[in-house]
Amino acid sequence: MTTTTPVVYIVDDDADMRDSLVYLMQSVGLVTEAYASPHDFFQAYRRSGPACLVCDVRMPEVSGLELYERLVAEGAALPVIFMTAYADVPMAIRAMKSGAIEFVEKPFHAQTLLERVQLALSEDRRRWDEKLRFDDLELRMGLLTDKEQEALSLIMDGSPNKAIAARFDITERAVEMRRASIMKKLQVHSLAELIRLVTEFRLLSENRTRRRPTAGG
Amino acid sequence: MSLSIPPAEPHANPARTLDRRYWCALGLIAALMVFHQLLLQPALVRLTSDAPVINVAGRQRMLSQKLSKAALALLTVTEPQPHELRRRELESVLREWTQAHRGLREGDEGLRLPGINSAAVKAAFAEVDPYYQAMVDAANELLSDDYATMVLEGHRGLSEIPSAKAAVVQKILANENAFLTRMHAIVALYEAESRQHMAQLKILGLLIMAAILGTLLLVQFVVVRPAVQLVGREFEHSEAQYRRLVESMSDGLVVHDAQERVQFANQRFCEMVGYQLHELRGAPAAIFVADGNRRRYDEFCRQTEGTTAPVEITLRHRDGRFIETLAFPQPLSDPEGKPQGFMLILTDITVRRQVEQRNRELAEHLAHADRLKSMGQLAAGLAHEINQPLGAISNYAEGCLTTLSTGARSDQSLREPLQRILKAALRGGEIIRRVRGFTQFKPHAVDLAQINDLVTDMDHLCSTEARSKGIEVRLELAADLPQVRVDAIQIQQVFANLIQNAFAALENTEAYRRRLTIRTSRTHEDGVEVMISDSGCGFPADAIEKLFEPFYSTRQEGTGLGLAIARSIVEAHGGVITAETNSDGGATFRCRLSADGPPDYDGNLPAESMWNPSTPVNTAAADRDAPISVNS
Repeated sequence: MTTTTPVVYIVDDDADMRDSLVYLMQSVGLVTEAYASPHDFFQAYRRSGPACLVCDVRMPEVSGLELYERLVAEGAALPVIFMTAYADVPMAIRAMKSGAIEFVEKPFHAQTLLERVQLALSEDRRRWDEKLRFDDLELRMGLLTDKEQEALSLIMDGSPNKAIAARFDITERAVEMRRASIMKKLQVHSLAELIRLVTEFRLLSENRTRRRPTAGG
Repeated sequence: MSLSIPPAEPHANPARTLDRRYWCALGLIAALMVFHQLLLQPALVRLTSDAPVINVAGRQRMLSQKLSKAALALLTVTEPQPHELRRRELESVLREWTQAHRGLREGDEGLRLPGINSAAVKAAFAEVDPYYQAMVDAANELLSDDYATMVLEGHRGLSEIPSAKAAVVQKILANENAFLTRMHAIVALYEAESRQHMAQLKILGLLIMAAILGTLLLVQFVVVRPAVQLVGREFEHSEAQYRRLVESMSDGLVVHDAQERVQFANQRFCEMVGYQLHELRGAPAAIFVADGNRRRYDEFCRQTEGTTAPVEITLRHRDGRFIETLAFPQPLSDPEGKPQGFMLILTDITVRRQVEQRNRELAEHLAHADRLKSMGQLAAGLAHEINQPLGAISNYAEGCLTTLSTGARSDQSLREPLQRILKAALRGGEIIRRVRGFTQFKPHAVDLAQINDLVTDMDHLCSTEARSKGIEVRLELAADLPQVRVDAIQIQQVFANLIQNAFAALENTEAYRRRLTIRTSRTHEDGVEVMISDSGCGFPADAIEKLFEPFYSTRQEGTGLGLAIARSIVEAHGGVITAETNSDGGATFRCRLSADGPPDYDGNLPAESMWNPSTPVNTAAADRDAPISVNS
């Protein structure tokens, strides 16, 4: 779990709307960063914790959807809540394809927006934690040598030390030592812990691959 | 006898026939007069000779007596001196007497005697002649030389002489009586003859006079009366023709005398004002001229020269209806040029006025419908535009509620959001004001306006639409523009149509170069020019001329009315609207307005300018089912 304060990014070219959103978010204690255009947003945006983006669909120059697509392309996945006056079909299809998560139709109830924002933030916090965990696990896994990797997969398959030793054509003692090294590098203290960690890592990486093939750090 | 004009063969001019007759009659009269003169003159001449004849004949009697006396005197005187005197006297009397007698019988120029011409006179003279001759012989004897010598040679044989003389004198005296009696008869004959001459002359004169009078009567019957009838018929015919003309006029006609009282009005005029002609006769114009028009009516009716320009006059029908007319006054004057009154021809233009009014209203409604259509196209964008401040208000309010519910409140912390709420509410109101201003049906609202304000307002209304279409709208507004006298809504409609045109033209343009520029500037003539230029697809070169025609559109879905309405509005303001193609392919529209505007423009859209006769409306094309697409 992380303690980083979540940030609500607000992008709207309409000053009244932008300022009112800032006020609304701040009134419930959320930290906001507001930008008048997608361009300004990209200039300033550095992901440092859980966040969400509240964005008007229709803006001059770059539309909200284009902004989102660019975010996805850059791998800076972020939950987005689109505000729209009229959710027409083609736009909705585009939004769904690009994985946008929410729409609020103007005029919206402020509470609805706040709920969506909270939801998005908790989701993003979960994802952020997941990402942090994955990054951590990946870091640890990255410490393993190829042989250790191979040994680990055999261990995970439930092969006994003898079988592993036969496979690598080493002594059982050597297998013991390799296992100790893996457990040290992965900072686990028992076989059960090791299996849980590796399983978690595999699941997380599977998730990431499935959800965002191009996703990075 | 038949006195009418003979039934004229085709094309025969009755006037010419009458003329011929008149000349005939004139010739006849002239002939009669010549005849009269030829006949009368000799008769008169003869009549003048009658008097001397009677005179001389009468005098012959006196002369015969004088002869007798002279003969007697010669007898009584014995002294040689007086004797000679008496003898000479007898001699001269005898000469005179014999000359007159010869004159009477054979004529004598000196005595103006024509001689004897009637048998009766001749016979009478034959009767008197022996006595005459005897007297002449006796007188000659007395004057003979014998007696003279005797007397001159000193009284010798004087005693014998008187006795001889006495015998001769006795002879004269004896014949004198007979002569006198016969001569009396001759004088009577002369007088009778003269009277007869007179009577003949009188009858002749009367006959000729009668003939002349008869001819004159003939002229009266054959020439004058037919001529009068002809003129009368012609007059009646012409009068009837003019009356028919006047009565068949589709315009009213009224004739006033110099005191502005009605003298005559045609049927049409009577219908126009609802009075009978006999009611109108002598009535003052005031009974049928609408109150507000009386002075004008009087004014142009008082003009005495020439035909004045037509004047619009409102008449009042008997039932109170007002009749709009166009009046052509025509002063009337007698041949000396003294004004006698005037004539008015009045064309009823009520229906035309109504049609014009109706057309104007239709134009207004069409313009209004066009504005609504424009607004309809902007509606989605405007909903968004209104949602912005509404959403902001909602957000601020929610924020305030949250702040209040957390208890960590201070009055000051709410001040800022509340002010923002107020501002946003006003902003929403402003948008609604613009929409309402643009879509309301409010004709005739010409006032001074700052063109930049109108452009800015319109830009606001279109901004959301522009944003959603990814069009960059640039405003380049000149700072020192004069105010213009316009109907603000109508001018904004022009901008709306031009802007929407541009939007449509930009639809297929690459997103990064969708640009619309609106520039205001001051013209050389101190007016204002608004330029609306886009980077869109432009229009085909051959379309420029037709661009402003109604029902012409280069777009499939266009009605073809937007630019036609724009032009009719700008031209009604006395301005000019033009279109051109940019070098980069887009289109530029320029709309120029003069600073003071047309002085007489009252905001009434002229119905006809949209359907300009110079650009005939292709009704056949308009009837087609599909919208017109010349080059889509």
